[in-house]
Amino acid sequence: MTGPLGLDVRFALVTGGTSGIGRASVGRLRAEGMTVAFTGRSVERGEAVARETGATFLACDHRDRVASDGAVERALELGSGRLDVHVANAGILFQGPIEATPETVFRELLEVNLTSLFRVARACFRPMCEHGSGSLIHIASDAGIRAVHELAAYSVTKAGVIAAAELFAVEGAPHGVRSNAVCPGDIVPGVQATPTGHEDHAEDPSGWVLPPSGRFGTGADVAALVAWLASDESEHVTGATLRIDGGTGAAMRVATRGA
Amino acid sequence: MARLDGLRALVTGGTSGIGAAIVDRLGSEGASVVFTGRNETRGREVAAHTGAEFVPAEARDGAAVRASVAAAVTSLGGLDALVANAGVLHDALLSETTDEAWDAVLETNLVGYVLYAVACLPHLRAAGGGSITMISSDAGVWGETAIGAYSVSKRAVNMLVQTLAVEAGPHAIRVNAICPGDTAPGMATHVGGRDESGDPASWTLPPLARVGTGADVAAAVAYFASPDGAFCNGSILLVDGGMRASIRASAAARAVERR
Repeated sequence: MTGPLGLDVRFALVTGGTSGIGRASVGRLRAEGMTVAFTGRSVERGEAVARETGATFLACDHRDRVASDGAVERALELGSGRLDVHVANAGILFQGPIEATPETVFRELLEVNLTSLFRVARACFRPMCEHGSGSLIHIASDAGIRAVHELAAYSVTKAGVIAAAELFAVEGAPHGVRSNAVCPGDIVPGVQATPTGHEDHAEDPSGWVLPPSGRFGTGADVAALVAWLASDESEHVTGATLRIDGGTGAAMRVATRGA
Repeated sequence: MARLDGLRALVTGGTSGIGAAIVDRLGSEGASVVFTGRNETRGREVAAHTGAEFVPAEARDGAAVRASVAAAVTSLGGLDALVANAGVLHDALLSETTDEAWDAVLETNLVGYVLYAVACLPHLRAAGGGSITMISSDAGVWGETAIGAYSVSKRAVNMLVQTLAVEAGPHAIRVNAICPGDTAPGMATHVGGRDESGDPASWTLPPLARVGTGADVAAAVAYFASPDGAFCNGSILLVDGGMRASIRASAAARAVERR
């Protein structure tokens, strides 16, 4: 099957592909004709996504560096050393300010959201350079552009993701490798992946305010941007920080000069 | 009466470079200062020179951080200001950064700042308010590929400052960042690969056509810690001679050199 973006015969690795934005990205890239491998913690959900989409599931918890390295190696084997697209999506969230974030929880968010993203991207970067093309798509967050203090550790780690996306872009550009940061706003149902034992600190959408667009985002919204960044349509786009938030981040929405 | 009379301040990483200049400046304006560091020989030298008290501590170790904060609070009789400064630099492209270097940079520059902030917040509240000033970097505002992990860590620090500013502001605790450009003497604590203090002669100059000094940065710290900075909260202040003011800012200094 060949989609309008011309993505068939290409190979993608998506981390955290068993739910939310990751799952939507796996489905969309498959629908565009790509070969896709994806990682995730839940074997049950991973196998279901694999059955549904025809993508290859690699069970992996990216908190475990050895397992993470192994999953990337397997993905590179599946692509016979070639990897065209990496969607760095695996991430966890802890709802709370810094002072209420236990040291272990902060370190766990740092490990999953930033360190493992850096390590997997580093592993993908070299084969992409050798091949002379590739697209690193880092799923950051609007909270990485402007602070969301109730998601403090998440905000801090996602700011780091944007910096890493920019640096890989400058390094990769001479080799035909692109790197961009995708910054979703409020995406239903919110980030539900948390540090182990802190499931009660998943993202709480009850306080969300509708974006200027009048609706919250969906995984499909983000997956469409991911597909575009995966394709040659975006070949001059690198080092970009792309908000996809229905306009929420475009201006401060508290009227300070009276109504 | 000096501007900082009665101020009780803790400075991390105060045994050299910018940190030592901060210890000196705060003391010269009347503050009582305790400072931490890893190098006991240099710590004793700075203490002898400034009259401040040295407490050895490793900023990556949560227990050591909490012990050094407790020691400072006991010695000073409370705490009004934290200056988080302890950091390490690593010269490497992100794609060529080892796990060991990444961990050292992120643990010291980011986790260390989180640990110190969380340990100090209750004492700052007990004092009825105060300030946290974090020494970040111009590389946190706009990254540099030659110092990839460092750039990532400092971008995250800037976000930490903004989340904390919102979190601590209601307790009259102000949280701000200072982003120095190239400052001589350079960072003495590093993760391999660079001369002990860098070579300022090789640095690209900002529009002001000179490298920065520890005193330049210390003056900004004294401002944030003093009543003069009373309405600054969540500020990200560049102290970089204009280097990050424009994409081609360094060309201005070269034009000066040619005249």
